[in-house]
Amino acid sequence: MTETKLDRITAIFRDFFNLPNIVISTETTADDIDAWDSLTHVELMMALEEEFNVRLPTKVIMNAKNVGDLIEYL
Amino acid sequence: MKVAIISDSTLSHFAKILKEKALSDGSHMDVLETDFNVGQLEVFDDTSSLWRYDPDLVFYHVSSFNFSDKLSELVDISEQENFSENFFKDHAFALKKIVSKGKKVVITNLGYLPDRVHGSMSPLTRCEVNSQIDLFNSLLYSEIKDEPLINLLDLKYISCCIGIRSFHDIRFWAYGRFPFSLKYVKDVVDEFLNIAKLHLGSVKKVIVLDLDNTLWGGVIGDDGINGVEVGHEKLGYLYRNFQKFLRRLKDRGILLTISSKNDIKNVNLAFKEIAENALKLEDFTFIQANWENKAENIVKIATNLELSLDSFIFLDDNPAERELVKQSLPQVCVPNLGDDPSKFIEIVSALPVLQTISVTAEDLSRTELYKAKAERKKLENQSVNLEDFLTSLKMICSVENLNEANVERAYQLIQRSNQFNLTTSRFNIRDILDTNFSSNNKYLCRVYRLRDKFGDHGIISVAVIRQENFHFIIEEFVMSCRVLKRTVEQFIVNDLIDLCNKNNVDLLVGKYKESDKNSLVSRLFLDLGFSGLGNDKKLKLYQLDPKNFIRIKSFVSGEYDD
Repeated sequence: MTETKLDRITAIFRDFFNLPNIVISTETTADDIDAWDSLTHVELMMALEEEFNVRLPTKVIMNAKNVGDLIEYL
Repeated sequence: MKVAIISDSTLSHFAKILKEKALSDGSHMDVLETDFNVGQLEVFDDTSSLWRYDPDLVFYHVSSFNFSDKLSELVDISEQENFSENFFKDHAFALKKIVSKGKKVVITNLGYLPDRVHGSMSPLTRCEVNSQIDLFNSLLYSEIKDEPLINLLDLKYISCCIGIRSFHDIRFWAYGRFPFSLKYVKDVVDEFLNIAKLHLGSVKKVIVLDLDNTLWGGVIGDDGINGVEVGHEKLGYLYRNFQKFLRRLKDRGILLTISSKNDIKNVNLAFKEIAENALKLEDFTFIQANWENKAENIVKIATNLELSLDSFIFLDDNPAERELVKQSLPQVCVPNLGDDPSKFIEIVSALPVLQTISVTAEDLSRTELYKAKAERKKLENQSVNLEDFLTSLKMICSVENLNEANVERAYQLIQRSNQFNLTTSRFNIRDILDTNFSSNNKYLCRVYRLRDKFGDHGIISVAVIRQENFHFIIEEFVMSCRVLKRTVEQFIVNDLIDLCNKNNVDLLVGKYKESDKNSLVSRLFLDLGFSGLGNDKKLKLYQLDPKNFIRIKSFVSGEYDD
């Protein structure tokens, strides 16, 4: 299950950051992607919410350290 | 177009999407985002980055969350109840200051927040946040209602359409002071662009309507006047409702026309005999009822009304007709109306082309000039500094010699001017034109047109010069009083001096002949730097040496046809 979620997340990251070859793992953090800053972060959260049709808890939006932290809420 | 954003919250996404959308629309928008919360201060500092940027348009945004945060800091109930007045005052000052600079402003109103502490009774309670928001909004409306430089962006309406809970998503406010959910930034940008476009030009204002199944249900030619549906119930109610909506657009100044595949007799009969029709024949500026193709009919309407096709909106339930018009006349706005009358009003209301920057009836052809004049007057009153105001008018005077094209209007101006008329000699300048500037002709006539950021005033001044030896004598000098106090006369004297120097004339002579009505200009030549040359009671003469003349300051720039 985590695998397919990660695939969908990867697709969103690739599209969102316009990085068609990027590999996303549960360990990926904002430090790994230059364009992932505080402004794009919120947009990225919106994109994930839309894709998975969920509302992310605020603490996740604010404190998520890596993709793995997000996955369980998606 | 240069847009400056002033806001108490983070609008970086707004700025980003605005630039992208403007670009994809084919217009370029340069955006300055003033620092969050500092924008308001920058307004009051004449040397701030905001004013150095010199924006064409200021987007002024106040966020409901910020409003609510400040309100909820207050403990005292009476302070809470008076919060919006105090909060508004600061913004009103900032708005006045921006307007005094001659800048256009688009300001948002406040949308409701989901919080309430008095349940369903909340609207009756003054200290509730949404009650204070209402108060703030009404203060705002009365402040900007008569101010043509300020337009409202109805954020409250957008947030209601979307739903206030999703629009005002407090997670993003908490995260980074984002005033509304990022999901809906594009909706706000769209609305903003629609308003901004009005400042860039084309305002659409003619609606071409189909009849059968658009204004009423059924086909008048087949079903007859008793068979079509328009009235007070069911489908008929919806069609009539749509007609009433169109009538309100008409009252706002939008022209309604008809292009219908019908016999004109049936059309006349339908409007005369069916009392339930909310629209009457006289509500339509132009009616085309025939069997020709609708694109051609629209072109005919456009030709007759002398309006360009990009002012047209075509409303028809028939997708084939819409497609035809879309393909043959791409300039025409053709919304996808569909055939369900319950959706018509919603679809037309959402058309960006129906945005307006004024809430008064805009019979453009007749009232534009007067409206523009009122705007200038208003601006002048509020302007902090007259020189800034005059500069902001961006006045351009085009200088012409008398010719076939301008003689009539110039002649009329001379005949009609009483106050700004130096000699009231009612000189017949047609004679000058008739002699066709021959070498024997001692007369020269300068004709001045003025335009500014608000519009074209046409010919506003005429000066008739007679050459005598090496002197130029101003035999007649009239000016329209509409352009008084705008340094046009200073501009004209500079022009006449140039003319003297070009013709090697060594003296410019001004004449003032007192009449019952021209005391306004009794000191004009003295004010313009001439010196008295002796006078008798009725005729005063003044002189100026063109060679030693220092140009007088004027805020008008020139455009010459010679």
